[in-house]
Amino acid sequence: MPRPVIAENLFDAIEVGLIVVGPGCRLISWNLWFTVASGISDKPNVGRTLTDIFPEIENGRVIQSISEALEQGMSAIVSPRLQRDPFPLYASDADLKSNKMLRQMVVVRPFSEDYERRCLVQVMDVTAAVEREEQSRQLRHESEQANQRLKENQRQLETIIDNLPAVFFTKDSDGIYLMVNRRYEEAVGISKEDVIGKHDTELLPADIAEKLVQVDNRVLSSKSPTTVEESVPHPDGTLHIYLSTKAPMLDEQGNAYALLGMAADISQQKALQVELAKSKELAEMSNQAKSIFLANMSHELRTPLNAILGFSTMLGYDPSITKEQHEIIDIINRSGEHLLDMINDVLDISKIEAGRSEIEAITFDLPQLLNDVGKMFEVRAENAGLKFELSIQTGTNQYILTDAGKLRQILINLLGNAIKFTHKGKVSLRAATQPIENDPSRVSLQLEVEDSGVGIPDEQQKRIFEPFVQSMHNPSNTKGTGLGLSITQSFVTLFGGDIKLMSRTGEGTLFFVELPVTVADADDIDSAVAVLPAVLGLEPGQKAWRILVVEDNADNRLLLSSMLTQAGFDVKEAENGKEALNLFQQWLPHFIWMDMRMPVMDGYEATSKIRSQPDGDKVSIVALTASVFSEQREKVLSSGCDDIRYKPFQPYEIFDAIKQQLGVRYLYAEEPRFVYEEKRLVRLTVQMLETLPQNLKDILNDAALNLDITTTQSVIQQIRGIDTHIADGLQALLDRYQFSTILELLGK
Amino acid sequence: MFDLTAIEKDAITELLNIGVGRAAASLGQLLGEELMLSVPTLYIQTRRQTAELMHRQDITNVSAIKERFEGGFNGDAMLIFPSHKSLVLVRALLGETVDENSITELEREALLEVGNIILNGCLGSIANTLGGEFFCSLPEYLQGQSIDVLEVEEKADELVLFLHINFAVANLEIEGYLVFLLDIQAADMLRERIHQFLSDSGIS
Repeated sequence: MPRPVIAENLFDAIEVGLIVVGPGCRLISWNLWFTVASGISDKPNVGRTLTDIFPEIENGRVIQSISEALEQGMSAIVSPRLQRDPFPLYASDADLKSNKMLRQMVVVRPFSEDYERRCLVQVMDVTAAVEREEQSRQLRHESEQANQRLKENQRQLETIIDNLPAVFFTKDSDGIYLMVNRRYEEAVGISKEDVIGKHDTELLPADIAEKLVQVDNRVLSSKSPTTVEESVPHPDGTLHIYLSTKAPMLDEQGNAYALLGMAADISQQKALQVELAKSKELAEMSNQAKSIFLANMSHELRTPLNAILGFSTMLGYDPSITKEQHEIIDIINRSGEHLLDMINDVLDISKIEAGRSEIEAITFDLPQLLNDVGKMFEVRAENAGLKFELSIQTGTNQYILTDAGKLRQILINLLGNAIKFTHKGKVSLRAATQPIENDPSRVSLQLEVEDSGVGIPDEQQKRIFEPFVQSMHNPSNTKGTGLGLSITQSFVTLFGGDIKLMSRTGEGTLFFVELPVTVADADDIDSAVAVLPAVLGLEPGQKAWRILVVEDNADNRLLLSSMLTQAGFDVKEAENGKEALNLFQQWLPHFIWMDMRMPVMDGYEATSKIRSQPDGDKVSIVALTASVFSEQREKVLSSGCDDIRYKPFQPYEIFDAIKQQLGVRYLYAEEPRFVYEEKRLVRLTVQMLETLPQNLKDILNDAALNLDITTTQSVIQQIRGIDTHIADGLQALLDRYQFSTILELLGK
Repeated sequence: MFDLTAIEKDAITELLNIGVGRAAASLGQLLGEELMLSVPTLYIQTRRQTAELMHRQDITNVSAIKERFEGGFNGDAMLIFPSHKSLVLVRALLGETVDENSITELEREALLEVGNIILNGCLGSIANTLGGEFFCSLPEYLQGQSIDVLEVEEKADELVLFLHINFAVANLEIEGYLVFLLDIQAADMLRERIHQFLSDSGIS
């Protein structure tokens, strides 16, 4: 059947596959596109059925549709989603090799031509569309998986947040809850569903909600996180305390669009803190009570000790006692002093712990204080077979203003330890003052105490300043309270100074103390500190001074009145304030020694009553107290006392106080020279040596001047025939080559 | 007014059931899965009435597959689904579980093919039984408001053979509509043909 050329050309020019079949599905023609795609030319196949040419389409939708089109006039569409691609078509040889068929969409349409029903089959290449869709399905699949993962992550996050050990929530910028965790539900007692979308004011009491909202707003407006303590009522009815951290959530522009909060319930910790604070306070109170108790106890201990020391000192003045008695008295004295030292240690540490230790500054002569202390330890060092060195650097300030008592105690403690723990070699005390930068009114007092002793092991160096710790290195040396270094350090701290220690086991120890002190000059010196020589008695030709001793403790009363009577005063005694008042009225004493703590009527009441009597303002009243707290002083003076002295007292303090008040005049003994020795203590006076024959004195004088040991020794042997006591004393001095002392005793 | 006796209605319903039955068979073969199709009741009403009925059932947005047929009498055959149901149906048929709101190109073609098979089944059944032959156009896919798809504005009073069509596939039941739009001439022709068929078969 001839076709117009134009139609033929069009047929081949069309870019889809076109197949024309006639009745019985026999091929009439297919176009160029289909020839190329199938690799089969239509010409040789004209008249064959389509299923003959392409066996693969048998029983398929395409052949069925073609039949319906030919028989019933039905058109059909055969899409690639519902069935395999019907025709073996390939885009290229390569695709053919890899069996990558074209994806096809087939459209079947009946038409009439040459008086018979025919069918046009269009085969379209939809590979691109199919691939595009598969790609997008793949993408969709991946995004679904990503979504799934996102959801899982979110669930995970929710689980974590739910199980956080803290309350967690987010709110929008209006304070509406966006999310809360399980802890929140438990803490507030409201379920998540009922919290989300609500505001604090709808969930909590107004006052509490208002406080929370204030913090929220602060965080949102400042855009910076904050941590605060917040109180929120718990479902159990109590108010719980939370440590809340709130942070703003900022968008890309930096605007706060939400708030994130985390809160830990710290109610229990808070309760514990309160309890701890209470028990701490209780502990401190009881510690202070203990310290006050100790201070009071030491007062009780010091009062009898005062009597012991006072009487033994008095006995020591008596030149008529035997050498054996002298030794016993010395032992009493030394033991008493030692006991007093220990009581003072306990007292000091109690005062420190009770926070009642303070600096009592006076102006004094620093080299003199150092020399006094040095002299004391020179003797002790010699007795222990050690060398002692005191060096004061040239240019050291002479007069300074600071607490001389505590400074002396620091030195005594450090030097005492040094001697105690050193068996050979030497102990040195070095002192210097250094200017303090930008402070011309003060200098830094630098003290070094060095020994060649056993040393302190490293591990003990840190603890050595703690109370009751003694060097365990040498357990035989454990006498004393073990409080010395602790007191020393506390005093140094009180001065605002510093103490350091360097030590090596077996080689020795160096303590370095640095104290800021105020510069002073001679005019500022406090005369009361000047040590007076021993009082022998009242100078003749004065009026009869009447002195009333008021003291409830019989021993102390006797000690005081004995001392005063011996010196030539008229003395009467009273046991309490009431008796004192009576005696004042009857006897009108010039001076009253007033104990402050007494039964019946105490010293405070007695003093103020006496002051209100006629002539009560003329009598001098000096308080005598064992109280150690300086605030007591104000109380004593305000009750009407003129001055105050502390127990245990030195005799010169007693005489000096009377002299200050009444202007009495004394006869003084020449200053006694003390010679200490481990086994015997001999005190020689100028008077004692005066009793020796003049020729012996002259020989001794010459020998001492020439530092002649042999001659001195022979003179002492001669003296021993006259007075063993004096001979012992001189022997002790000779043993230590103290020729200068011998010369002084000879009055030269 | 176009009018059919109960027997005539039953006859048409029966013809269409045969058609969709055949379509179900070939679809089942195609999909490798059993598919049940049925058209329970026939209504004869105008296009306006049809649109109103859909509107009462809250069906406004629809997808439709439409074929033009010409021959013994002329008209349009349509398969109509609520838009979202068409998606559910095509995905159930293709065994997909994608949750996507719009239909893809290939899905649309697949849906077209399914509609094509069903409509061809029905029209083939009618042609075979009532004699004569049709030329059917290729199916086209329509989407929009039901009144627009039914061309109510232009042809409000033209007659419609209206049938529910139930799909049961893969544990899913989907209801759509099978609609034959006929002009006056076609309606007369249809009635004449049925009348003829029934009397030929000795039924009336």
